[in-house]
Amino acid sequence: MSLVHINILIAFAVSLTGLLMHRSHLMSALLCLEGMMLSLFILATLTILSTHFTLANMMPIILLVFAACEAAIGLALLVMVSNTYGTDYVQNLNLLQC
Amino acid sequence: MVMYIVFTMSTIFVISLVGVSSKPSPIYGGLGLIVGGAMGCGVVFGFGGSFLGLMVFLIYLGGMLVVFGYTTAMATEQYPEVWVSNKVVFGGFFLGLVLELLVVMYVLKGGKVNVVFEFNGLEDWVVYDTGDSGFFSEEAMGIAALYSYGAWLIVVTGWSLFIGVVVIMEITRGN
Repeated sequence: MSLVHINILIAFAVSLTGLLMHRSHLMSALLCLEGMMLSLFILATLTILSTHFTLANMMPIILLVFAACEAAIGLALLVMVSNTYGTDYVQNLNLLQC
Repeated sequence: MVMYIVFTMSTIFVISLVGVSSKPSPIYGGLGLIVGGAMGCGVVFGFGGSFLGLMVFLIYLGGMLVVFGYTTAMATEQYPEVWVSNKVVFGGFFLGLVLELLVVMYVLKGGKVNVVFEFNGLEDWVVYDTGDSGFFSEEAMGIAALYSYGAWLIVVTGWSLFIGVVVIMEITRGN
């Protein structure tokens, strides 16, 4: 396996860490999720191209389709939060009170 | 020589994703994702996947990030935080930068990294070579098989996109 794969795995781990630690905006968490999807796409593409697994070349495209669906639904939820509270700050999501 | 360019682009990819996940204001996170997408596209080009690399630009940057861009413009703040304007953001970015530079120096000095798999050196990027494939690009033929062998995949993804649109309309109905 080539050394480029290490960097892509580190990029996935960094985006995962960024997703799990909130600061103020909910939008930043969605952007970290998009970073994870991008690094998964690149990792799958590199592995499939290196091992010449021809039929699996369609898998990154399908991954991108489902990532687009998920991003759109996440953005719709963010828009509704922003309509209710005025901003998308994470500290506003306190209905659970725990 | 090409392999050094591809490795440098993957390093810039990691640094831009560190810039996204150190969480400045979301508009600067989107900028980091654009740079990361361009570098990831270059890495895929270096491995010979021209169609999939251009798909990153078209679908990911041109489709998804544009939507993120104007949603961010809708919900942005008056004084956005750039990476150097806040100590927490700069500390996180600097930590990620130091981590990546340590990894790169270890890799370039040793040549072999043995974490879970064994990552060989920069040179053997054509790991498996299974004979010639004629005049066709394997990648293009594999993606074209999406419409023959992957017909059920097309049906499922098309249906789930349609259901996604219906779900979004229900969420944003409000009232």
